[in-house]
Amino acid sequence: MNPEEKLRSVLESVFGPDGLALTDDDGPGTTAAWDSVAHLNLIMTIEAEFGIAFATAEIPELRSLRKIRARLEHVDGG
Amino acid sequence: MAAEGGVLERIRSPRAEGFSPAEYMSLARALAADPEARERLQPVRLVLLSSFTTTLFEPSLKVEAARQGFLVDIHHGGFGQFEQALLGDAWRSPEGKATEALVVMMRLEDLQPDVGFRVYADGPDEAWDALCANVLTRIESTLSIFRDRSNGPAFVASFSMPDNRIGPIFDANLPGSLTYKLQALNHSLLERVTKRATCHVWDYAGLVSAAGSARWTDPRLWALSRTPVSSANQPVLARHLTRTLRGALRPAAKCLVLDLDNTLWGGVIGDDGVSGIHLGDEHPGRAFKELQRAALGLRDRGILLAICSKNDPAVVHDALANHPEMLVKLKDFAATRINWSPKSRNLREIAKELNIGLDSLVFFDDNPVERAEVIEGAPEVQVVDVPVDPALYVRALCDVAAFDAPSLTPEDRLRAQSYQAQIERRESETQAGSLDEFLPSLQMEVEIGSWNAMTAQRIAQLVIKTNQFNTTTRRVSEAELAALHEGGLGVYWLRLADRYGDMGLIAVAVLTKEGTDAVVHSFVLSCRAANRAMEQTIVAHLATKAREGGCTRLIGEFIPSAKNTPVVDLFPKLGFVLAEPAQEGITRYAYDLSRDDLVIPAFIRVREEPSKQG
Repeated sequence: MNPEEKLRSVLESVFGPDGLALTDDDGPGTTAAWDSVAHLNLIMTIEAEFGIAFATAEIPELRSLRKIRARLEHVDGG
Repeated sequence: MAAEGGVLERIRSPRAEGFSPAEYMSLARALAADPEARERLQPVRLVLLSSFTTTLFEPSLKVEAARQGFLVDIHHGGFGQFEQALLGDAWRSPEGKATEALVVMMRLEDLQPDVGFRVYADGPDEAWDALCANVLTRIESTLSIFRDRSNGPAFVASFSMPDNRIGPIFDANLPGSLTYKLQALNHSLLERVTKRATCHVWDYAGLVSAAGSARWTDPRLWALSRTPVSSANQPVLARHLTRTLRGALRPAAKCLVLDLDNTLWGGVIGDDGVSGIHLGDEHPGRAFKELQRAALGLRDRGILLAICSKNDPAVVHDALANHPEMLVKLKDFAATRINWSPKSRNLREIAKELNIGLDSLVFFDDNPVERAEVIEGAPEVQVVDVPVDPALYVRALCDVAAFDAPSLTPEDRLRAQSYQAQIERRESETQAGSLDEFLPSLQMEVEIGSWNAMTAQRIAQLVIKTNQFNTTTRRVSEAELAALHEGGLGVYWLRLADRYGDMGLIAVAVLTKEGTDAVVHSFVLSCRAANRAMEQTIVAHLATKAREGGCTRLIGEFIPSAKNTPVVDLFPKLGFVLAEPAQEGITRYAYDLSRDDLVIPAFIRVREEPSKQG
């Protein structure tokens, strides 16, 4: 799985099939499903799948799928 | 994530220990949509009241609950709300059909942030005492409100050591340190909680320390969401809590059935001999000795032990009695099946013998082929997924959730004891050198009586059911027995008791009259009482009755059946001689009643019921 496929798989796990329809502009609050709990679930799942750990300050700042994708570009492997 | 097989099947697979956060979320969603889960799992309304945030626990709680057989619908009481969370109806099960289960999780450091840091270091401490009093009062009033409104179980988390504290290394040397203050508080909690019906302490402190308190909390998650359990540990918490829930809601298994070779000892005793097996305090015998210890520990808690092994019983008995490192003895086992039959069949027999359900058995066998045979042939039995490495056996046994029970009642201990009589009887049988020595040691006492309304039913039952120790296999009905009693020399029964217990009415004989011959029309003996000289006892009694009836010969009839070979030579052994070779399948033996050598053995005490027959 390349990083994008992995991310889509994570989105599907966290949000169900609707997760695949999320756009780069989506983030906490733009959909009913992406609430603060879902955001933490998403971040923790990304950490587990990508084998990374975000700094505490980063987590609330990853406010859109665009920012998340950008952040993951700096991650090795896939 | 493509679904392969049913959701429940995936959740229950042995691999379930290793689900990732993504899998937990997918599975939790699939569960909610699965009609099979709705049908097969017990619905539980899980009400979580806590001093922290619990919403992130949902996916793993739902999945782990399903593994234990529950479909949970979770209500989060709201951050720091306890009594007030139960006042409305929001916490109740929407459909009202689910079992309501309350979980109270209170962390001291959430109520008083100084705990662990600034105070409560040592010595008497009024502030600490006030905190404890407040905490216990809140817990008690929460439980009272819940008890007034619901019959469901309640669980209160024990108090764990705060993640962060000053002085963790040497506080164990200070009698008044937080280390000991927490122990005292947890003890008070135990008293306050367990005095209430179906209220239990949930060993949260034990869970945290077993999982590793240093890594229990993810400080980032705590900072961002007030969730004091890391993402990796949430499934650990979920497993522990749902196992606790199961222990409270489901009856515990009653019997552990153990294999022997490479399970209770290392090696194959039939090949290696008693002295060749691995069992002892050093590797490789240690793992097996530890398993024996754990099995005895379960027995102490009222779990019956049984053996199911493909082996030669004589060799096994020798090993159990004589191997110097053997911790378990024959008397520790309530039932044994040491033979070459399929294990599923033996397990069915064990359940029947112990009078418990097949689903009350837990089967522990190192051999995956035997486990598969049992899963196939006796699917109700709970089969332990025994690891390949014997060093891991003990943990596998300790982890069997089926044995979890919220309390240990006197009845639990009695259960093991009630099988003790049977067990001891069997043991002295193997210890006594010969039957001649063994029988007197039993201190048998028999009561002999004749047919009456009180015994009619049991007599008829024995006559109908007995196959092996039955000389003629005449299936005589209750009414016919009454007629035979009135019209002949009597229908006699025998009750047997020995120093281990009362076996009840175990033998029946029907005596009819043909001229001056008294004929043993039927003789049946329960196989439980075989080899106890009961044949001689009752036939000697019949001889007496025959003489009283004016007869000169006592005739024993034998009709062979497919199953009655154990009594084929019953009469010749008692001194009868062949009178008439088989005619129409009936062989007749005769005993001349002028002889006086057919008597009840001296080691049997006889109480004869006063005869009131006309």
